[in-house]
Amino acid sequence: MAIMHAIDYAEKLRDTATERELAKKLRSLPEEERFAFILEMLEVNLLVALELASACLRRQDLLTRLLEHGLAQVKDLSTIKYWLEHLIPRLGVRRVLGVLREQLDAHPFGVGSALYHMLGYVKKDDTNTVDAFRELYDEASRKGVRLPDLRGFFNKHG
Amino acid sequence: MGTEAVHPVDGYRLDWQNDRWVSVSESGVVRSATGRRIFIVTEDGTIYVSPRRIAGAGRVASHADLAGGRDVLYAGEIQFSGRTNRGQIRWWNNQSGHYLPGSECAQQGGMPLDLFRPFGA
Repeated sequence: MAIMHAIDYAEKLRDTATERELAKKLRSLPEEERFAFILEMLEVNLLVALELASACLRRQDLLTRLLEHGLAQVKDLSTIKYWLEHLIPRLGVRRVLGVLREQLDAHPFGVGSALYHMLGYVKKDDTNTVDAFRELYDEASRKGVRLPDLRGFFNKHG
Repeated sequence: MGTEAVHPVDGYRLDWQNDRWVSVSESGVVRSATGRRIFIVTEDGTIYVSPRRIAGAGRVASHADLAGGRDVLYAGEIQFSGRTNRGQIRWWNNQSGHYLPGSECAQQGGMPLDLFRPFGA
């Protein structure tokens, strides 16, 4: 198969059928090449790239690298929610909390904005996960990361 | 929380007409609301919505983009019903990393409270 480039699809990404076909083509490539294509696609169409990642990547290390890339890239307080929506189902909440902790020093803004959106994924009756979430929040707070006020959540569930 | 890059988007006004929610473009085109949308409520109580994915732009819309500098009373996301029941809200919430609206102020959202799902509660 000829090498695929995301830019070639920039004008074609208008419907789910096209995107399904693209996912099918991508799955025929080695996983490292899928990953490289998805990194290109991030520059063309963020949501399509994340949907492709969710549909075509299997390796946890590549999904983790993608999340790290997202944490480094985000420049606003909303966009990280799309990364989390697509990657949490593949990585799991605990693994994502681990990545956030690992990336806290390198990308405090991305991690700070992700912590708010993690509220939608942390199961309130899973005390281990709530504790891990709280520890990360406290660590970020101690390090001076600008954070949303989640005291209400922790008072209720912590 | 920080300085954000804002790229204003053309939002649609959300109205309740003839027992259904409709989005009204700036030029007055009325369409039944469908799919997932982000929303803001401005200080005069007007609700503006935008698709999460901006067609043709390859990027996503944020609440700050939708507000475009206007003062915002409330913000979140809305899920409308699909093809067979367009114009009906399935649920809405207060998820906005930019405005962090409290669920206790949900009445400011201007939509049915029985369909409100507090974010992270």
